[in-house]
Amino acid sequence: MLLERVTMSADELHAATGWEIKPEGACKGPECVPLGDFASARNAVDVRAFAAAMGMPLAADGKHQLWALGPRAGGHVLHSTELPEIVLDDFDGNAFDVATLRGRKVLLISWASW
Amino acid sequence: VWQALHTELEAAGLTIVTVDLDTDIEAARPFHDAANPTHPALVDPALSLVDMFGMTNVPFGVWIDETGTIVRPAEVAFAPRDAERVAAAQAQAARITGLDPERQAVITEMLKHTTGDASRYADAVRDWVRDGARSQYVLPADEVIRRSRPRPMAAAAAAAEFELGQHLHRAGHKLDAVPHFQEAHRLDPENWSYPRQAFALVDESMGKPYELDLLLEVGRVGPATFYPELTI
Repeated sequence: MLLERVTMSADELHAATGWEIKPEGACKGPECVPLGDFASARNAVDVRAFAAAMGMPLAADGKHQLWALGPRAGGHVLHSTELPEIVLDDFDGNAFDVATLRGRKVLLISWASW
Repeated sequence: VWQALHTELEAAGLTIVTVDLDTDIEAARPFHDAANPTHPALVDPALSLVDMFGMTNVPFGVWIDETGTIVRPAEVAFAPRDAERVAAAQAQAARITGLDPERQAVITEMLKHTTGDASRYADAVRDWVRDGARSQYVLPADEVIRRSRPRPMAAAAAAAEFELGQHLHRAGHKLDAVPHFQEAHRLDPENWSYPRQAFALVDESMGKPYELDLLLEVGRVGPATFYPELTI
C-alpha cells in the first residue's frame, strides 16, 4: 500500500493496514505480532520499524517522497482457502463483488492485453 | 474465449469471472468488446490479483466453490482456442520477423506445455462442475495453500516496488517508474506479470528505457518459468 510518510499515528496505521497497535503488539483478527518499544509512541509510529517487525518490505522513492508497504513475507500467498475480498469494477465502471456469487462455482480467470 | 465454456456450464452452476490485468484498461477494451461476454468481466488496473494469488503471468485460473472456498490455487489456465492462437501467432512471428534461432528456441521451450494443457484444463473444469467436491481435481485445503506461490521477502519486496512504479506511471512520472519496475523484476525474476506490464507501458515519449529483450530474458531466467507446467 502506498504511503506519503513513514511516521503516522497508531490510528492512521490501523486505517491504512488493518493492523491495530495494542499493548501485546500489532493485531489483526486473532493474530498478534509482538513489536518493539518503538510502538509505544502511539502518536508517531515509525513505519520503517513497524515494517521490519512485521516482515513487510518498504520500498521507497526519494525523489517523490513516496513509500510502498508490501505484503508480509514468509509462507505462501494463500494463508487460508477462504476467498479474500475481491471488489473490482467492470469495463463500464460498475463495482462487482465476487462474494455475491456465493452458491455458485466460480472460475476466476486473469488475462491482459500484454 | 472463455464465453463458450461459460455458456456451456452456466446452467450447471458455474460462473466464469474474467479479470483484466492492465494498468491501462483502454488497452484491453477492444479485446473485451470483441468477446462481448455475458459473464462478469472485471478490470484490475492495480494488478492486485498478481500479489493476492501469485499470478506470475496470464492467463491464470482460480477455482472457488459455492461456499467461497478456494479449491484450486492460481495456475496456468489456457482455454483451447488460446493455445491455437498462441501457436498460430508463434508461427506467424517466425515467418514475419525471421526470428533468430536463439529467440525461436526460447519460444518453443516456453510454449512447450501450453497446447496440451488447453483441453486438460477445460476438461478438469467440466469434471468439477459435474462432480463438485467429489471431483478428483478438487484439492484439500492444505494442498491448495501448499501449491500457492511461496512469498519470500524478495517476492514481497518486488510487489512493493511494482506498486510504486504503477503509481508513478499513472501520475505521469513515467520514467521515474522505470527503476521500480526494473527492481521488481530483479527481485522476482520469475514473475513475468511485472516486466510484461512494464514493457507494455512504454510509449514514444519514454524513448527506450529498457535494455532488456523480453525473449532473451525469458531464456536467461528459464523458459519453463513463463507458463509453469500445469499439474492437473
